[in-house]
Amino acid sequence: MTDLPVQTVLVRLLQRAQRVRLANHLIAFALFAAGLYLALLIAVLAFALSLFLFHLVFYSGLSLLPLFLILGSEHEQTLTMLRRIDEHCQAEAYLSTASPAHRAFLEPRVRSLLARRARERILRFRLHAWNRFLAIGVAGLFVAFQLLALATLRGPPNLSASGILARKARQEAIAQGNAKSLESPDSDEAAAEGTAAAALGEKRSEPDSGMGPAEDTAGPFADTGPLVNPSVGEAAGPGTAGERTPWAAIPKSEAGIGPALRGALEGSPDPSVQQGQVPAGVGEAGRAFLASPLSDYESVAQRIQTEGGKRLTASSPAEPRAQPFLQALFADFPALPSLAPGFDPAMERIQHRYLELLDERF
Amino acid sequence: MNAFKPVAAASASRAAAFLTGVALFFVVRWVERGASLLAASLLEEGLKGCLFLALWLAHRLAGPRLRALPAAEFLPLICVVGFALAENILYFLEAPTGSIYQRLLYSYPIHINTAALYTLAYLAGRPLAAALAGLAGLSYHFALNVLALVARAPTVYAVGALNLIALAVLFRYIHRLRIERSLDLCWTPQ
Repeated sequence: MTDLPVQTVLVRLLQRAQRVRLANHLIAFALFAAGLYLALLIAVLAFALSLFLFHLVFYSGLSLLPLFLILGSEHEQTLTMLRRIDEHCQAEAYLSTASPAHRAFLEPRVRSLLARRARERILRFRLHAWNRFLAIGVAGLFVAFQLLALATLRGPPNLSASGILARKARQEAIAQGNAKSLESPDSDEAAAEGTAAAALGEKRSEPDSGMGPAEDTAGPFADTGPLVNPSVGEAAGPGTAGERTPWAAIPKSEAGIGPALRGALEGSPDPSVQQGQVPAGVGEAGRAFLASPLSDYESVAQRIQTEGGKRLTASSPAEPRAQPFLQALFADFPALPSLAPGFDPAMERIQHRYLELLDERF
Repeated sequence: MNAFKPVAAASASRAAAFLTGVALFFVVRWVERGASLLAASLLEEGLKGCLFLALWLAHRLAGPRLRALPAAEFLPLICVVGFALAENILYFLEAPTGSIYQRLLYSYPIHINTAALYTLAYLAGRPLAAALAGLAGLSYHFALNVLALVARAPTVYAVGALNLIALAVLFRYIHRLRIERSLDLCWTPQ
């Protein structure tokens, strides 16, 4: 190090300070993202913010990373950092003079100073003051969110052995109710849903009980949906599990469902894709942020009281959702023997045009 | 002397750069309707190059005043951030799905990385470096656009990781060059 020019040594020290600054900026971004996420969760719980807005704001917030990397430097210019290293301006004096005599006089002192500074803690990592404030703010938001969540649940969950057993029994009752409703949607549906609704109502009436599966799925990430495309369930007819997915993916003409739909149309060898059972996360299937399941879930208890033995669904209490285009799109795929020419020219034209539009779009 | 004047000027110039980027996005979107992938990449990268050219001209015409502005070399980059953010929001509005977050790894860093590359070339101050950076930025943009047509999820994440590494490396060199330049500017031996 002693053989290197003073300016090189100085640049290395300044780079170390710069790395500390960049680390602080990245921490600030992470804290900002965490704070934004918690604030949005609070907004979802307290004001029933739609998932569309939730993700729009969060997505835009995450897009601000580059600004965190480049902004905030006006108070920490090179000169400011240098003054922290060289408070008596010896290095500055050395760099400012062209006189060999002056440089020879100053060089040992400057080298000794820089070597000492390199060993000292002055340039080691320290959390910036703003980051401390941000961390306190995020912690405050986290506590507020937890309190709000407890208030929404009307009390802390019961984690005792009896509470867990009661929770398990309720979960099983609800699961059995759902299974029965899927097996016999016409005859046993009312009874099964009555069981599930009764279990849910019982759970609602016991504020200190644990969380049931319905609550487990409610939340800002409930939109990630089931493992298969909910529209498949919808195509199976009213009263099936598909109706209980208000966040069902709606394949827009521009957004599409991407490669999954393409695979289904082109006769992909993958049976799950061929039948339209598109896993969530493949393409855009099952992950649209178009409706908040939380608000639907919150209204379930009221519907039980007002509608009694009527068939109960999360999305529409009175009538099943009519989405004929979805049924037309998905229901026929398993039935198609192949996309052979002459099957249905009109349908084929529509499918080809749809693929062309997808190609043009992306 | 008003100590806050440079800071206020810097904030105003950055806000203006950001809004200019948002406005430019809509102009570019209108111009590149129906354009091929190569034409779209060429147009967008050409626009970014023009931003840095404008900064260079501004330095020539109003040198001392621009030098008084802290971190003026970041103004085109901020403009590109506005451009890319507007694009992100528009894509979200057209396809509000979970897959949109993949853009933050794949498509969004394309704009940021190319702008960072041009910033590096600008700071280097050599015409050859600027030309090479322009060529590299165009190739990178076009290649990832083509790859996006066939890429599946694992590829997107792999390219996303590489994009973020490239972003980190570019910013490291940008800050290093800025330090060296400021040392050269501050302490020219007399």
